[in-house]
Amino acid sequence: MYGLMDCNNFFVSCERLFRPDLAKKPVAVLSSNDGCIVARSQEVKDLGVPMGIPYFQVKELCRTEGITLFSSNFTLYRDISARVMTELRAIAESVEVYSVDEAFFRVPDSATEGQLRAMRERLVQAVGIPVSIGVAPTKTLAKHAAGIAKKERDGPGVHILDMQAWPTDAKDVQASGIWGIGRQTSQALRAHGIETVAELLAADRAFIRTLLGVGGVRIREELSGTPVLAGNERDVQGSIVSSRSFRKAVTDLATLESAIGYHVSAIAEELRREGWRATRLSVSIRPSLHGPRAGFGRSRDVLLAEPTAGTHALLAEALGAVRAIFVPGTPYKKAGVAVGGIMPDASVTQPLFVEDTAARRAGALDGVIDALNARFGRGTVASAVVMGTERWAASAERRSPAYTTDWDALATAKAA
Amino acid sequence: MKRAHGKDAKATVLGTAAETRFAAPLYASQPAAGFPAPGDDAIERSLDIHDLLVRHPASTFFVRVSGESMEGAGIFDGDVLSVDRALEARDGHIVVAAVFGELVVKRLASRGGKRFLVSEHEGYQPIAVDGADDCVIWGVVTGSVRQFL
Repeated sequence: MYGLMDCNNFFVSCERLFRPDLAKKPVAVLSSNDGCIVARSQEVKDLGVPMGIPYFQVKELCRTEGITLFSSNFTLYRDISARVMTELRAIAESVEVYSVDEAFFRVPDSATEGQLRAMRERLVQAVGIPVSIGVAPTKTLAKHAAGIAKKERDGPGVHILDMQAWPTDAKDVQASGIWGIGRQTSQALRAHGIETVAELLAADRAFIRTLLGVGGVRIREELSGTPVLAGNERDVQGSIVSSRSFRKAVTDLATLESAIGYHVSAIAEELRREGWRATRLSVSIRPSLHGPRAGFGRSRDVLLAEPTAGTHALLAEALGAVRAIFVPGTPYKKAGVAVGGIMPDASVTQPLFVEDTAARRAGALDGVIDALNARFGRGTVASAVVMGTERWAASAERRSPAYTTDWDALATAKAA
Repeated sequence: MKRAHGKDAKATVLGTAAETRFAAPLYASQPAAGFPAPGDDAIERSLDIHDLLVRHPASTFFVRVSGESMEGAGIFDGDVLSVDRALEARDGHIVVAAVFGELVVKRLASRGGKRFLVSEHEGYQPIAVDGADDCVIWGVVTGSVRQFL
């Protein structure tokens, strides 16, 4: 069976970890440029604030209801995410990180609810982030089960889907709420009178294939309890690496950034060509293996907030990583970038920033760049950093301290 | 560009915890001229102060101390504490707890079957740990770092 571990209101939970005063208080997190609400505590959901709503539309409500707002602090979220995933790997089999706050894992058929609860307890205690666990014969159903576990307030946080009752229960489950069924798909289904999962399961297979293609058939199989997602994902699991040695040693950050930018562009193009997205990125730089500074090679792994093949999204992470591991005065001889956790584009669920059109525009931009480069030659159009110009940074007014990654930003424990 | 298909999942630990550490290499062979020999691949291990303080990287966090109430335990204002959330807090442990919305550092003690958070300095009242929301153990303090310069 498959388990899905899903962190509850993940960004908000990260913000609360070092701020116990915010427990049970309304807390929300804004997108990169403080544009939209991208994470809400239960209290904020209860106030009727929808996911993805532009901040200016709820500014007044936030003030009157005393909602504590944070700018996105991805440095913190990523560190906490890595901790959750490391802990999960220590106690579960075949962990597949799906996004910054979700991971699938293998659950033995003999596992009891008691064991799963104990597992959840350990995760929650060790890192301090509440999680929900759903268990079912397929990934799609595990995701649904996790949703049920999350909805039960003060419940055990674990839900094992009852497959005997599923054909009946599926009558009360909206197809539009199922993982992989987006707005367009659910509209197409509704046009043919299919609203619930039970109706989707009862529909003719050939009809679903005509209406929704192979993807639709796969979802239907998954919903019936036959795992199909596992096999398909294994096909593309792996990594893409782009690295190169410098002819002359490089000691300045700007040149390294350019090199990293070049590698990221190459990898992102490859991902898009194959219709893939990456969930992890790794940057490494090292001096000559035989010089006096041989031991100064460093690498940094980054868990991406969303699966992506976007040059800009990958570039922002890669540049952050190379700046963090760069040691001035070191004669670097080689730089490289690798991406992993690759999954097919079609299996990527609704992105986190649903209403954030910036991501969609960036996707369109990548397409144009790829077309220009294909026509006029590689590197005709490249990101500014690859061309060796100024770097850029995101703005954020209400960002919390980098509690876990900066010695000057540690939380304070009072001895008073 | 090369593509490495297959399972590489295990090799990748994620996030900042994964940053490769190279600290103070300890050479196995004695370099003749007082400098490490170039290309000497006899580096046995590097000493990393992190190893002393952090047994469980995923569950260990650092916090900075503010105040004097734990001086009796050798914990001073400005010290950095390593705090492990995965350890079960027992009597006598120094812990970080969330008390009325604030992180505090105290020693956990049992008196008459009840658990209290006590200070190691005169003039501080014990706080009852009642399991209610306003007093929750956050983690167990495993070490302390003090810098003199």
